[in-house]
Amino acid sequence: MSEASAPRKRSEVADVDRSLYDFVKSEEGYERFDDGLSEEIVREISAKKDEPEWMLDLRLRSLEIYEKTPMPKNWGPSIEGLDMAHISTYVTSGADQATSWEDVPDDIKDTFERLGIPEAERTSLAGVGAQYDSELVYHNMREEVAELGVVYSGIEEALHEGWEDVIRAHFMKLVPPTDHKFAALHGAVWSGGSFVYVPAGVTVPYPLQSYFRLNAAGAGQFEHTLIIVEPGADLHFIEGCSAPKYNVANLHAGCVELFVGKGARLRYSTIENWSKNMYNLNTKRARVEEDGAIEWVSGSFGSHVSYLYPSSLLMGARSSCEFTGITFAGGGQDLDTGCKVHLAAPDTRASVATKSISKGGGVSTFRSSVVVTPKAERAKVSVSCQSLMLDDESRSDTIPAMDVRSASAQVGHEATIGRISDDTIAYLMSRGIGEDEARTMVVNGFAEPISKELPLEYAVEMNNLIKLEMEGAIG
Amino acid sequence: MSAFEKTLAGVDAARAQTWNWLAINETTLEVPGNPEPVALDLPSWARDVRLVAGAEAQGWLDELTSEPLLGASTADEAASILAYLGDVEGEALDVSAASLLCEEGAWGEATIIAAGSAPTTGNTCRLSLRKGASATVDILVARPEDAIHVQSFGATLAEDATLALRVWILGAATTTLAIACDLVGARARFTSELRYLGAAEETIDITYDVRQLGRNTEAEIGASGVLEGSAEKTLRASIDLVRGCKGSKGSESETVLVAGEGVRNKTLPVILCSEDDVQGDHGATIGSLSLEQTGFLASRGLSEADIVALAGQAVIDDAASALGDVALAEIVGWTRAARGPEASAQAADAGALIHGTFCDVPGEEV
Repeated sequence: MSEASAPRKRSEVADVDRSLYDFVKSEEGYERFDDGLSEEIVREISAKKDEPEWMLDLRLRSLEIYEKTPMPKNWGPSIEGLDMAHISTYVTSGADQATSWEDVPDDIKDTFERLGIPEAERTSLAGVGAQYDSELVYHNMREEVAELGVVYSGIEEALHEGWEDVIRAHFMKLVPPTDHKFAALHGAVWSGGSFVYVPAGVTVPYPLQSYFRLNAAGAGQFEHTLIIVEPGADLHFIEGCSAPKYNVANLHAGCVELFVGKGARLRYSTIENWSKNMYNLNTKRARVEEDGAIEWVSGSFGSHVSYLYPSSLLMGARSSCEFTGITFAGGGQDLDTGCKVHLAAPDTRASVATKSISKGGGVSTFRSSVVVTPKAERAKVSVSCQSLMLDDESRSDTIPAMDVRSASAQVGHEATIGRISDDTIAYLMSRGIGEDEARTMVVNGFAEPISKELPLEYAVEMNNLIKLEMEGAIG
Repeated sequence: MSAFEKTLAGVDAARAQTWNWLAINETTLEVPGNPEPVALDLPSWARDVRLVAGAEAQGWLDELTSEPLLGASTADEAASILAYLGDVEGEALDVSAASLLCEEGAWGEATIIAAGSAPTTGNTCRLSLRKGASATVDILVARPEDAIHVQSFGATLAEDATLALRVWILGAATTTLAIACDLVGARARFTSELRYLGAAEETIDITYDVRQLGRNTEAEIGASGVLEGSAEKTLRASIDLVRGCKGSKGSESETVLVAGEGVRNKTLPVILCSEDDVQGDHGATIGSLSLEQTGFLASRGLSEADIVALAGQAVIDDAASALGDVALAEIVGWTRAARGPEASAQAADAGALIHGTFCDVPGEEV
């Protein structure tokens, strides 16, 4: 075969080595609610948490909305494989929440040790929350951070420890149950998650991290994260998640509500690495006041199907949003990710930069919305979206929507889709680098703008994930 | 009974849809009903051309078309189709269809002019370009501010075929435009330039749906326009790089000057890709004049209003330059009604400069 007619070379990539995440612990002795969804189950969850009446009302109203709300038929990946009749909405080991790893049951402690959470807490975090299935099993914060007046606890604990009024004023106010079907489901069966309160003017010196582990097969995880950063305060919050792979569907329908006060800053970083039987239907939203800033750093590597679009409501003058995201879709994955930005005040700013990589038959869809309201005078928005296709079995789509209603706004958008150029690989190989390594270098370089936004240890984790994805022979 | 008797759902619909709350996926339009539908008779090559106007809208257009225009270009003889719409005395509706077949190596052209005073006009243009054929299609919408124009367009391109589509939307209460193009053969090439003006309460709704199926095909969509007053414009542009279209390139770009407090500009530039050895890109710049731009031009004696007027005039002059031989009177007449005698005189000059044609400016001694 002549050189000219020879087929182009491409990476033949192996499946991810998920041994780091893919281990199962026994559920013996665990409490597991019946599969499916009913008013009885919702009341049982509420009773278990000894909730105030208004929270039970919210759950029941959410259940009603869930039952009435259809899934959109004209967009998004299929969730036909998800049957709520075969999902248990509440599973717990029964372990009490601990503030010392020594008090966490051995098998659960072992899980988090294998994931490196206690080590990260010792070296670089201000506090850690660890959720196992439906309940938090560990929550702790450094003393010096607590002395600043920072509150970091489970939502349930906060409800019983003097924060009920604050929680009632904020809980599911940014993401109401009417938002979409799985927001309603979340409202009905939420359990676990974190409450963070940073007083005005306080800078939290190290990040806080919550890690969510779903161990049970055929179960759902519905944690709620509520963060309030008061005026002039500053926080970096990190969220991680993983699960072992089963041959039945698991569901994650968490909810994140972030309130960023005047002149405050919140960075919210996520490395999502759910197993590939997971339906990840998560909702995240931030409301930002005058001069406040929300920064999202989002890495989506796992799950079978994802619907994930962190949204930012820029309500105060000069408030800003930065969204930096990467999505890596491999075989059997259909990841529909992106973001939403709503600019509703003068001189607001938004910057969106995303990268996506598709390989091995994976489907990656970048979906975004930018809405500039008439109030957003002199608003500036830039959106950049780059997609890399590693083979011709995969798919990469970009579906960005823009709705501009301000005469003085400026909105710029650019997107590209392509493959690794042969010239780049040839150049690297001419410098003595093997083809495999050259391709991995290019992909790592492609993802570098995202990884540099993460704390070192998480950037390393992300780079390792990419390296694992890229391992394999050259065809 | 209302003058509008029929509601067409999904007139323009994006192939890859998104959140329904954005109200960008498709549009609905009220049009006059049709008491006497006719069966549209088309040759098989025309029936095979894919259209994306939406089933209700296309059905409405088809059943109003009694005498479709047909043209066939051969290597020896070029066909040229010219369809004028809207110039029907006392009629509420003027709907037509134009279909053009370009045989192997042939060249042809089609021109659709929607410019008369009939309240509602519509047209379906179908093109089939065989191997190595090429065609140019021009569409002009220069309607009164209370008129509606519904345009459907579809083209199928075989190996090495080339299509250049130019569209000018100068005015109408509502213009909908659904463009489909299938680049089936290797090295087929589609370019489209869309220029528009929106003013007052006008609505412009455009869908492009381009599928690149053959190897080494190229698609390039460019759109630019000026929106004033409370005009609303929606552009959905989809390029689908279908598995197997190795070596293909698809590109979309849009520039919108937002120059009115009540303007609403919606853009959905989509790239769908299931092939790795391709290049796809899109870019959009939407907004007002920057302080640097206005400052620089102010130093040359131009106010912001002058600059917006110049940008609008550029669209009109471009249409006059391109269509001066077939539609200069319509462009000049529309410009006079919409923007005044000075602007229309300038449009006449722009047409005359290129085509050497002389056009009376209506209502003026020349």
